[in-house]
Parts: sequence; structure tokens; C-alpha cells
Amino acid sequence: MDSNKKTLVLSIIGVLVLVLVVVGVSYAMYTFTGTGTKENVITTGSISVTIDPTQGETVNGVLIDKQTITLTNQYPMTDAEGLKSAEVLRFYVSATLSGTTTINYEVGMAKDTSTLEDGEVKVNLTKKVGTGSASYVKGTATTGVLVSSFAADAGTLSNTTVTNYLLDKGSFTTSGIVTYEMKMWVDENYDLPTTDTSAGDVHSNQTTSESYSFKIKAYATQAA
Amino acid sequence: MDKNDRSFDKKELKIADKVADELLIRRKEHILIWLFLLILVLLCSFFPALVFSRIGYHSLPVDNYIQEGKVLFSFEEGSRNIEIVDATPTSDLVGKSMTKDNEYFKFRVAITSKSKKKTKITYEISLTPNITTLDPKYVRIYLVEDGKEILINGKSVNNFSELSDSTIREGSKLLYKNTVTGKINKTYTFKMWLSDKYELKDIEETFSCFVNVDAY
Repeated sequence: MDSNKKTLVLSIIGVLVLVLVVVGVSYAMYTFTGTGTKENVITTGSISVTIDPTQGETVNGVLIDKQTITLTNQYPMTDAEGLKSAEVLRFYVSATLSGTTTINYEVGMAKDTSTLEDGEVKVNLTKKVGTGSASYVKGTATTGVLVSSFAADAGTLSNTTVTNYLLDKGSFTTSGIVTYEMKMWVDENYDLPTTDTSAGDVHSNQTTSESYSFKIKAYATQAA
Repeated sequence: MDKNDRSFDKKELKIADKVADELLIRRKEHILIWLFLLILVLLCSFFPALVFSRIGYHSLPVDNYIQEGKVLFSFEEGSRNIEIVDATPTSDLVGKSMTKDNEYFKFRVAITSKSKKKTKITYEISLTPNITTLDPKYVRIYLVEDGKEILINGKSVNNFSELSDSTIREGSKLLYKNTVTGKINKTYTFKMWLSDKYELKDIEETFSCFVNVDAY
């Protein structure tokens, strides 16, 4: 009798398990799966700042630490001397666009560790849009401006990273390139510090080498 | 054979009869139990079929005829999808108001039922990323249902990376989940754009995803 009861109970449990499995499978069969076939895509535009690769040390044609420019071993000069003899630093802001978007950009300086102050260095900056004529952005054909005169200037684009030393603003409505040419020199009013190198009966002074380093950076965003 | 023998046989017969009767009764009980269990199994198998039938298909049906007692679920993709090239950092204000054909993706979710019984269905809208050279944290996501903003994580706009993982689709992010009773016909507008926190680089970067709908 007991074994009969056992058999019966086991049979009932087995059937209940079967019922649960069948219900579960049946329930799982009644679902819907809709996999999208249309791909939604965003591809970013690109904007770059490049320094003239013909200047400075390069590796495989690419400037090492390409955005750092350093002014060293310079003597104080008048504006005329500076404009005439200072080395030209050329950099480019370019955009690659394939649609009808307008990109606004701002380009500025990011100062690195320097021994020269902003009030001791002068800058002259021109720009040329595409193959057009050059125009003066900082200074004129005969003058430069002290870096201190624009050190506090900040960009106005939303979330801009150009928070000081703003050099210029512009926009692209199609792919293009803007060429900037910068000349930088030590202001004539600056007295280079000297080190006394006198020895014995020889009295001498030696000027100390000073430097001014910075990077060029650009920030861009879509026009609202 | 003597009298005592005959009475002993009668006793045995009575006992045997009694045992046989008990066996018969027990057998009947067993048969009834098995019959009951069989009916139970059959009912449980076919009950879902009585309530759900042909739940969902992916494209617009040629024949909209629905049989009595059945539920039809559909996910219809719009003809245009999002295809933004040379995207630039965009504020949420601008992103939400984008209206060009390539700047949004429309799709429809519909449930049609001819069942007298109101059916409860849960559906999930998820996003499956495909190309992700652009970091998903710079992709802004926005969903509108019948002209009304859907709040996800309490916000109308989220970064793709802020979405929670889908529990149905592996590798996908849950965009929106809803449980409805009865018929519905909802039009969704999905938008995505490049976050204004992104800094353009000198190389292009791409993010792409598919919109899916699952119901159960």
C-alpha cells in the first residue's frame, strides 16, 4: 500500500513538473522580437591645428610636440627689427566638412613654463583664409602688440577651452584652411638680466638666456 | 469435503471479494486522478493559445485582419534614419529641435486586439550599438512619444553611456519600457547628436546604433 502511495505521489509530482514546463515553454513562445534594420549614424567632423612642418625637429615629417613653440636666446628688439628679423611661425586651422554645417572656431595660446613675462614679449599675427589675401589680426604692418594686451581675452563659444590668450575667431561653412603667420620677439624696453662673470682683473657680465613657450590650441563647435 | 471446509472457503471467498472490490475502487480512483491530471495538462498547454496568437511581426501587415480572441503586436520602422555627417558639438537645445530628414528616426509601436479580455503586454525599446569609435559618453539620446518627451533617468536627454543595460538583448541599452493594457498605437521620434562637451579632433569618429522593440 505504501509503495502504491509513493508511486502515486511521485507520479503527481512528475506531472506537475511537466505542466510547469509546458506552461513555461508555451508562455515563452508568445513573445515578440523586433530587431531594427535601420542604422542610425553620427560621424564627427574634424578640425585640426597644425604647425608648419618645415620648422623645428620632425620625425617622419611630423613635428615632435608639434604644438609647442619656444622663443629662446632673443635680444630685445624694436618693432621694426622684430618684424624684419623674427622667425615666422606658421600654423594652420583646417576643417573637414562634407555637409552644410557651420563651424565656429576660436584659436588661442596656452602658455607653458616661461621665464619671460607677457609684458616683455611682442606678437604680430596675420591670417589668410584659403588662398585669399593676408590680414592683420594682432599688430599692424609696422607694429606688434604685447602678449599682456590680450592675455585675459577669452573665447565666447559654449564650453570653449580657449579661456585666455585668445588670438582669433572664425568660422567654416565648408572644408577649408586658414593660415596664420606669427612673429614673436622680446620687447625693446626689456632689460635682459645678466650674471656677473668677472674673474680676477677681468670684469664681465653675461646675459641670461630666457625663454617664452606656448602651445597653439583651437576649439570649435557647431553654430546654433 | 466436510462442512468446516465449505465455511472456510466461503470466508476466503468473502475476503477475496472484499480485496477485489477494494482493488477495483482504488483502480477507479487512480483512473480518475490520471484523467484529472491529463485534463490539467491539456488546459495549461492550450490556454495561452486561447489568449495569445500570432503576437507580433516586424513589418507592416498586408492583411490587417485579426481573428477574434487574438492579439497583434507591431514595430514599424520609419523610412528615414539618422545620418549625421561632420557632426559638431551641439547643445541640447539645438539637438532637441533638429528637424531635417536625416536628423531623427521615427518608428511606430502598435497593439491591436480583438479579444474581449484586456491583454497586458510589456514592451521594451532598446538600442544596440554597432560602430563606436566615437565614445558613447559624447552621444546624446532623446526620445519623444506621440509628441511628448520621455523622461529617462529623470531627464529628457541622456548620454548613451548613462542608459542601463537591457535584460533582454545582450549588448544593448534599454531606452524605454512600458506596460500597456489593451490597444495602443504610439509614434516615437528618436534623436541623437554629438554632445557639446566633445572636442573636435583631427580625425573623424563614428557612433551608430539600431533601435529594437521587444514585447512579452
